[in-house]
Amino acid sequence: MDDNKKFAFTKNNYILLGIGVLLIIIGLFLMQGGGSEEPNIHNVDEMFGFRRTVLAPIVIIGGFILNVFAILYSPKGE
Amino acid sequence: MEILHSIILGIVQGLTEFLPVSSSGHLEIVKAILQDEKIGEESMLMTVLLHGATALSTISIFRRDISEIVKGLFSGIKKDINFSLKITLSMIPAALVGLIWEEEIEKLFGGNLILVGSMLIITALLLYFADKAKSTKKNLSFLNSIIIGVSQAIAILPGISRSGATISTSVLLGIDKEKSARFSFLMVVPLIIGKISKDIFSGEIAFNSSDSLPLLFGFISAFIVGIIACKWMIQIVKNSNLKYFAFYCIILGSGVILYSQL
Repeated sequence: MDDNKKFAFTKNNYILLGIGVLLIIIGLFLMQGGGSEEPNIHNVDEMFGFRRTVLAPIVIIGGFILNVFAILYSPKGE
Repeated sequence: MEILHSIILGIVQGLTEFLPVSSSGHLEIVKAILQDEKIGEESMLMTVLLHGATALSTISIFRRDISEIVKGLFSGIKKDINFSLKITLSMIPAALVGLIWEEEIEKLFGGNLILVGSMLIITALLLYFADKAKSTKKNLSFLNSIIIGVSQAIAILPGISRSGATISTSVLLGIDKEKSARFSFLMVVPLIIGKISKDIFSGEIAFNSSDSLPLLFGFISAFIVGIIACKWMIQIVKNSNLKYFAFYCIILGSGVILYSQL
């Protein structure tokens, strides 16, 4: 555990973390919308389309994975 | 959703993920006292982000260990392959119970204060005996990892703390206290990541751009408080201070049982 204290973040770790968070935010915005103003009308294709049910989750998960990588990333020699 | 509200949620998530106090047990008590079933029902997105944040806190604290395990896995080092297998084995009981019976357990035990109180007393006893256990340095075997996994599955019951149950079981099996805490926190990371992925692809998550800032603040506060709480818990276990949480759980558990009889 003590070794972890020496395993400090570098500038690259913070950049990667920032990109990861940005990907999560982009994923959330891709997920947004698809609802209907009219209570009797449901835009099923719109709401459960590729963008909201496939692309957005992949981008969010990608953001999380990049965050994990950013935390674990340690340049050689550092 | 307000920023302050989401920061408080983040702090609560950060603390209860690591400290042995059973967040679900406390939630049931607050629901019963305030007679409000909706307390704690945050949006699925908020839940996903808060759990993601504390998983990242754990990864940050154990980044050296995780890096070495990952490198060892790719290099074919037996010690790291075995540790990964033990983590996988320990996940199976909770994953099975969670996938098959989670809803039934919630329906059966939700709102049952006598059960919550009794489980808090069991948590207290586990913590107390683990605290008093002689310090031995046994290694974690495959069988031990399954037993610890079973204790994690039992901790789905409201009132049983996940970290408390797994660390206590591990210490009572004779494993070194610091290693027990490390294993307890690492074993839950893959489960959380699996649950997050399942929820994100469920199609039940709704996002409103006006919630962006509260979600971001909730995520950051859970991450920071999670790091502090995780380090604190490791010190608590190492310094044999679990008994204070045992006293808290036994007082609360007894009080809850008395309250339910009023």
